[in-house]
Amino acid sequence: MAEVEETHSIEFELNGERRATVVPGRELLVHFIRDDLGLKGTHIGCDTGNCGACTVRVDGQLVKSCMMLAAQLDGCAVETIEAGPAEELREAFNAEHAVQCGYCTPGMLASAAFLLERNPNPSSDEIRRALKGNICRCTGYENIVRAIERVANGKATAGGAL
Amino acid sequence: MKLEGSEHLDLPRAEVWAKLSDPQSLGEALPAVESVEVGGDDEFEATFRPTTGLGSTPMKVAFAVAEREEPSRLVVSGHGGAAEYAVRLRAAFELAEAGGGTDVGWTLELHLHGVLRSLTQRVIEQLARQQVAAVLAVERV
Amino acid sequence: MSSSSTETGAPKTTTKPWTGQDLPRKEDKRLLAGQGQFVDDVWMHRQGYAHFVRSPYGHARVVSVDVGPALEMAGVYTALTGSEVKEMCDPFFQIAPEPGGKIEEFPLAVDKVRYQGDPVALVLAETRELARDAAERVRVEYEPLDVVVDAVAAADPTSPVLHEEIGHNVAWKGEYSYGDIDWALENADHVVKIDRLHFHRFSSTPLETFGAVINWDPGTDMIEIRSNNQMPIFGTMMLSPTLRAGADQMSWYSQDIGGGFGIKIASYPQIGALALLSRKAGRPVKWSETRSEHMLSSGHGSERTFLDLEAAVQADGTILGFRVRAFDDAGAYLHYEPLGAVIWAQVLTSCYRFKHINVDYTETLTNKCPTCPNRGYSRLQHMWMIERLVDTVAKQLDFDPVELRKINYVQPEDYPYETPNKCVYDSGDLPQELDLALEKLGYAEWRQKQAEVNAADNGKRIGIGIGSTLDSGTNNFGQAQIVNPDLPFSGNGEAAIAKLDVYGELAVYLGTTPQGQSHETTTAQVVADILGCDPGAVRVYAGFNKEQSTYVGFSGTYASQFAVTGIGAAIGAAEKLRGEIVALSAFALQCEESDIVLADGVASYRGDEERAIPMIGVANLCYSNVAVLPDELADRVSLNCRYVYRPPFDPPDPETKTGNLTLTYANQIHAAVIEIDEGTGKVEILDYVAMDDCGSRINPAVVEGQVHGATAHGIGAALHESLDYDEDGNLLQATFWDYHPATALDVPRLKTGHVESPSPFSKNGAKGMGEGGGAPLGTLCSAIQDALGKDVLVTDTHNPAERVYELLEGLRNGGGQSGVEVTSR
Repeated sequence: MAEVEETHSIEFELNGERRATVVPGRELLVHFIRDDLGLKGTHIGCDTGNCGACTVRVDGQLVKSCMMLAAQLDGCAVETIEAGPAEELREAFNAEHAVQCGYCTPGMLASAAFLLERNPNPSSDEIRRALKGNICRCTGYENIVRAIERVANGKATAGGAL
Repeated sequence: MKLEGSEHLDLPRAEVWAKLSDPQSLGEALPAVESVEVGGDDEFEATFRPTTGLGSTPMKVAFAVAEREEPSRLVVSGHGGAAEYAVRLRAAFELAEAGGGTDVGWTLELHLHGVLRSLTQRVIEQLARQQVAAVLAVERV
Repeated sequence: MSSSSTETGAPKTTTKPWTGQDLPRKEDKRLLAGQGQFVDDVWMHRQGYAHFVRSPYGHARVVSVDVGPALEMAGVYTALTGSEVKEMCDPFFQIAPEPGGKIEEFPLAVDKVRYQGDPVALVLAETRELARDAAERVRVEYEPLDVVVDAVAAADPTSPVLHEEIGHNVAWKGEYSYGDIDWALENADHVVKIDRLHFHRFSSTPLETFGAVINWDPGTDMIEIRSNNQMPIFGTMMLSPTLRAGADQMSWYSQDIGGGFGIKIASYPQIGALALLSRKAGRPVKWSETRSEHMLSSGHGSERTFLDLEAAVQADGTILGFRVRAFDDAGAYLHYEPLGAVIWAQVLTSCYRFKHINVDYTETLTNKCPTCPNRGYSRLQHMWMIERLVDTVAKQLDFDPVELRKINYVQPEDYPYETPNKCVYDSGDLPQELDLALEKLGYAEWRQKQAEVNAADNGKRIGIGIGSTLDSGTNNFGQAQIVNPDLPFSGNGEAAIAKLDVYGELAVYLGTTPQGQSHETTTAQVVADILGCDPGAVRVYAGFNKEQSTYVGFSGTYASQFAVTGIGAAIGAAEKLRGEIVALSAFALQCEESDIVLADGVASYRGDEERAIPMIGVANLCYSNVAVLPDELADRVSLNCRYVYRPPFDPPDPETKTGNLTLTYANQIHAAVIEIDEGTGKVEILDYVAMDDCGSRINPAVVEGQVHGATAHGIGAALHESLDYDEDGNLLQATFWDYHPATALDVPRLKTGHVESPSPFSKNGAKGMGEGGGAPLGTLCSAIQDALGKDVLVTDTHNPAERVYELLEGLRNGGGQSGVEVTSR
């Protein structure tokens, strides 16, 4: 017995560009981003919304894209790592060795950028609180916190090793 | 997991026995039941939706009367499952006359298999006790 | 012909070598842009999506598997069952001798399932979601069996048997005996006996789960495996006989791997099943494990129970040695086990100079996920037990915990130090490292604060703890013969190619599979120093790519060895290449080889920069202009230099179980201050210091990053992470909902410091150090014990609030049965 899968038409903005398409009702946003839009920078690390590897921005808010359906994107603006956000932050991550395997990195950058937009001078505790939804198994978080502190303290300069 | 408890019901033992040992009424007494299908004399299948920490999932459990010693002892067994989970249970009820009412002693042996077990671990004991209490409470009406 | 960089002069523009600098990473450019290539990013034309059907039972007979309902669905391509797989395959090669060697395991479970998650079928469909739907429709009839989930219980012959072929659950058993522990226990001033210690089951849970995209090509019969497996050569050795395909038929590729920590060694059974599915379907197969599948069925860290631990202690604090019975829990199948049954012997006495050791070691099978190497494989367990022992001796016999350790540590003048089983500790300075750790911690001040807080009696207790560990690196694989004398393995090695490409581009190819260890950067630093150029000019291709990489039987990234083996191979290859470049340049510039200087990508005549040839010119001579070269030169240059680094090892002696089992010994000493809330048992870390010594540091920032990561893993395991099974064989932490990987709020600010004791045994004085020694486990146990006093005993590596609360209750109820006994002469 073949089941006809329910679909939805959506119009949305992707990294500043207007798009329109049709998506299956049950497709997760993270799969839509990775498989349908072909943007591989957003990652999948769990199936319960705990790890943050899939973190993107939707209408400016931080969203775990595995906890949202693609169909819910209608009328929204989604921003992924491919939009190339926060040059300063990326340079700081590089300078402070805040990246090892790189799998949590896009999610971390999204959360870090979100924090600094709202709180340009966070304490180390505030930084950790902002990152508590992003799991990293490689760095022990120490250098990620240092990288964010570096940007907050205005030490990041243009023209780094990248 | 093994649970046990006891309740006093203000109903004569024969009535308690009648309600408990009837598959239709026993099935309907289970909370979160969507439907009950009675099979033979001693069997029924109930579909219900227990709530876990992450949402609810429908489960079909087939019940059968395993032991029957009217009017004092009833043992019901149940099993159900799908590809990725399974449930096995055995509930024993001991009925004793107590004044005009009935003392019901019960034990429940419950085995869950599958990821369901880890998802329900913090609520399963309460859920199970609720199920038993509901079965016995309905008899009070 | 000279091949040493020191003989032909230093690079002319930079004064400082690249080796030893905190060079920012080359890998970061792509990773910070989200442009890494992880396995789920790979896509093959015509691919189908695969999903496994897995047992919900911990132990059951498989009565029937009906894939019919799945195949009826539109968009489902095919399915594979255990009984089909059994026809197509031979069982996996077993490392164990009999009895364990008789175990028959196939890529899918056949007649029985032996752990929750054991796969019984595999379906392939057009989309991810369809594959899951199809898998749900497969009807499997199981007959549940009794379950055994404790290693000690499993050793009992009356426990439920997992593998009928062997008739019991003991996969391997052996006794390791050195010195004379009976004499020591009889004659020592004190004997400290601990009934039971337990190292719990946990996992490093890399953020990226297992995955693969596999095509068993119907035309060429080549098996293309795009995966995130971190030891493809081991995978090849296991899969080739099982799949009845030549090792040369298998091509493995990976680029970026989202963490491995040893766990990604264990994906070969899944890859085998997927390869068979691809062959059956005649199309590529794509698979990405869900997190629940990973928790259930990827691989867990070793779990070990220690019974009847007895230590012989002299009045002056010298610990003569110990005796213990160790039960290791291998889970349902032997994946890499029982190598763990000997690997702990690399650190037989941990940081200490004990002389008399007896370990009775039993490897058991239980209805749990098979264990596999997990960050610090097999050594963490043993070293933690020793550190508990030392800590307990100090507490029970009222020795100062710092002084007791220092008395028993291997002393700086002892190196190279031969242990009772003939391992050789290469270098170190443990007493100094401990002093530095305590100084950084502010030990004296914290002791004062502790006295104040604990006396105030206001619901808080402070504890201060120390943990000492080693990180043994570069295994002698000959130790496998101690477990099974018939295994034809010995030594170790890694391969690298250094080459100039057609237009003089410098490239290095490695057989390693980094999962964040910065191989591209550190290799470039080392090679840049040898070839007199900028690391930016050295392209490093890591990631086991069968065609481009070069490999030996030990290739991969695991077991804290890259700084020695991988870098050793890169150094050898670069030096060979340098020799050829110098020879060609000397010919081109009509001078002696000793007059050639390599700097800034150019070879020039010493003292005359104008008389020079760029790398593009050097390459041209070899690639396209070869007739101008004299024969004897043309015959010996290719500018494509392969080198295999081979550490000096002899095969160990299986009779006496002695030998040099590892080449280098990094170490870590940690110190911590914790505060316990007496109302809840919750432990908060107030201060934490991690000291490390890994010899010469190629890139200090990279080293420190590994120390941070290993420390976070240890703290996570100590306070937050555990894998527990109930009496039905259900894993209680099957998702990240229940398994709590340490977050940024759980890991405190880490203070680090280092000592540098170069290894006399490696090419560059470096020691592998990526795993760390699990020091947080011993450190936090020690700190909790310090807060609780001597009337209860911390006996488990995992101390969440509930367990600490129980210990506090034990104290409140008068101590008593603490599990430790002291007898004194």
